[in-house]
Amino acid sequence: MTSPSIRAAAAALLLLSVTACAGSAQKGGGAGRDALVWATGAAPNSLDIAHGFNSASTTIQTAVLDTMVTLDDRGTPAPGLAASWTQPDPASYEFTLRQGVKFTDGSALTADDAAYSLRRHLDPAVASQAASYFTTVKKVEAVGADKVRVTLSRPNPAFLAVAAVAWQVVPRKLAEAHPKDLGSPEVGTIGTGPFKVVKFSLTSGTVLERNDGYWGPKPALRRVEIKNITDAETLRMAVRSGEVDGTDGLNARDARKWTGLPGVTTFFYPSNNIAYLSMAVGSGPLKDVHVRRAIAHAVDRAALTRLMTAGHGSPATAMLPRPQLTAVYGDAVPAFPDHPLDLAAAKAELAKSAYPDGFTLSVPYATGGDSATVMQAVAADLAKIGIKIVLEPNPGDKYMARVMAHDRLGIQYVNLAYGTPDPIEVLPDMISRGAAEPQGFNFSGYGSADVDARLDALASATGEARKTQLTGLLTEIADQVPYIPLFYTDNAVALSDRFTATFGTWTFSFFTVIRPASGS
Amino acid sequence: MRGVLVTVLALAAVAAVAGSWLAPYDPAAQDLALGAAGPSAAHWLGTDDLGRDVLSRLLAGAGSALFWPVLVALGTTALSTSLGLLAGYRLGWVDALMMRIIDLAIAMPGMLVLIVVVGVLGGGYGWAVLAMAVLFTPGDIRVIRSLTLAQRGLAYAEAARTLGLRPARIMFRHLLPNLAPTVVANALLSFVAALVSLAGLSFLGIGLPAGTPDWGLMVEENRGLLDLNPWAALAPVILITLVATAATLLGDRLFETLSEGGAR
Repeated sequence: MTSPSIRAAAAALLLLSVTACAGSAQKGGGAGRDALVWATGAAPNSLDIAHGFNSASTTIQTAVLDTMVTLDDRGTPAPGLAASWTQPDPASYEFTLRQGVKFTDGSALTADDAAYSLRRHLDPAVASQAASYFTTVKKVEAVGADKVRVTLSRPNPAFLAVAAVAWQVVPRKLAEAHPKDLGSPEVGTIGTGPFKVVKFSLTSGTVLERNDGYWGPKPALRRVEIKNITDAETLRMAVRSGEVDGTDGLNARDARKWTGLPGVTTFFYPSNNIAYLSMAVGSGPLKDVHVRRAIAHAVDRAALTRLMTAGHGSPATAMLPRPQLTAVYGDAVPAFPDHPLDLAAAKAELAKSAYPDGFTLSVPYATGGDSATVMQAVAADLAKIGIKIVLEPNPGDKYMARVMAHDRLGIQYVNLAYGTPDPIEVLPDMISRGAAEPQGFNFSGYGSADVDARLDALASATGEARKTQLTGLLTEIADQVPYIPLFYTDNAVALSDRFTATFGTWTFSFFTVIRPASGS
Repeated sequence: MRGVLVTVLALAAVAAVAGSWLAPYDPAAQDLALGAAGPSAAHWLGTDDLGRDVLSRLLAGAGSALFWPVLVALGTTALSTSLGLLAGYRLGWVDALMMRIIDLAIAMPGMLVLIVVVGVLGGGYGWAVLAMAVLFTPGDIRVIRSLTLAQRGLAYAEAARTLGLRPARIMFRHLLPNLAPTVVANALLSFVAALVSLAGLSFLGIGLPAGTPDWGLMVEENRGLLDLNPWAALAPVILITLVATAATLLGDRLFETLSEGGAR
């Protein structure tokens, strides 16, 4: 009798403890009105973009490390550590360093530091996660005391934009000594940015303090403590109780839960992201373009947009984030082939395929995330035209590993955010043959030698030629439907009313734009 | 009191058998335009974020919520009773070997083993039920073995042996009826443990595919809707608690009743 009783009690306790979801953030944090307690929804893993190219890590990196180039409010490249630059020819840049800039250890910034900070991303020994950003970089060299010359293998109009995201400058001496573990809790990092790292722990959080020797406008915050709270409800309670002053760990779908919090303002602003369905075109029913078109006609994208963005987003019209479309076309975005919701058209397309009566498809998804919700809605839509989706639950990390390994891909829900306003950041990921290999982001496997050649041409094209190339590629994607664009979602930040800020799509560092509210 | 407990379990059993037929709506039917909404005349327990009727999903989910634990309880009871009787009656190397294996099995962290087995192998609750039957059995074997040891020395067992009855007949025809109170109570407790453990697995998103009407899965899928329709998450929690409590208390009552009957 005893053993089963204990067993039942233990099982009940497990359910209760899981429901409770533990995790109580420590009260307080910043003393004083210029001290902020911030929370991320995921754990940062490195202060070096080469090994921590993810949202939680870059949130800290952008506060500590400067880039040679930055992006202004409209996403246009603007001076950062480089006070200016010239382009002697279409495939090379010459940057002039800002004078008098020092790292937080007191050493002066040199052209050699800046050059090495880019060159290291090309070094296989570093195994940089940002290496794919710099595949066109052929040579980086310091030219004299204050100039850096970058030579590209071919003209690349996106170079400045990607440099604004990933060309973070660190002291050469430090980076050279730590190719693999720069940015780890043991090694840390040193930058020239508005903040310096006082503490960085993977478990107990991060503390930043204002860099009083910063060359640019001094941030209004003196101290920033960054916690990691992964459970959404725990995070909301922490903000509500005042334990945490602000967070970007909320999504637009849960906006209703945040907008009414007393003493908290929620900011929504356009994001450089796109949510889409990827369809593996290599084999099975999805190889048939008529099947893919049928699916595109059957999925109710407007309803999905309402469900997943709760009014803080919009249906996607092409396979690019909205800011990237705007950067190329302005307000005159062309009309690409569309497959509007139309069950009759869906059935007609399916009738033209080799599967006129439908088929059954096993679809993996990550449990506990948005993909479970989206795929349930998609499965219900596809059931109306005879396509039966069998959902296959996977723990989040197993799902990601499986997808990145391109293991039995079928229909995947993907939601990716990008760093630059340049389409060349996205399109090679989507349709190049190189990205169709394991660890690449071309989950559809769509591509050809011709498409690769056109991507190369797009990478070098400027002006109207660039628009023409881009329009051709986006039209082909829309017509062949390896992907179905779903929606764009706004970014969201919740901030205590003791602080205020102005956020935009190209706000990289939260902590330089947040300031104590007047009268707080 | 016993009437209340039996009524609760009987209602749950009816829902498990005829839940899909009793459901006012198709439990899978979505209405994204409606989304999550509180109770209304049309939807007594409201709807979830995909606009599905919560009451219909509860009724349809009763089958999944109760069928698998019943299977675990039957499997555990059959295994533990047979092996416990065997070890306790035969003693010798059979008993020694079985007890060492059980020592090992009891040292395993059951819930972690379940999570790993189901997480790695996938395929719904099938593997979970098998793993649970294996994990729950060792403790029950010990209990049955110890009771068998006590019974095998009693006069009626000695008499049966003297009469030359086969060991299997002695174990299952003569000893087992005297262990019935414990066997029945153990079976109900195994049912409760499986009910809560499977709900825990579903809550962790392991086991059943998203969208399957299942009480544990409903808690996980709807816990974010507490502000819009708390019943979507609370109702399955209440049902799991109610059924588990009723089965546990009924097990205790049956144990007392059967023991008293035996004593008389």
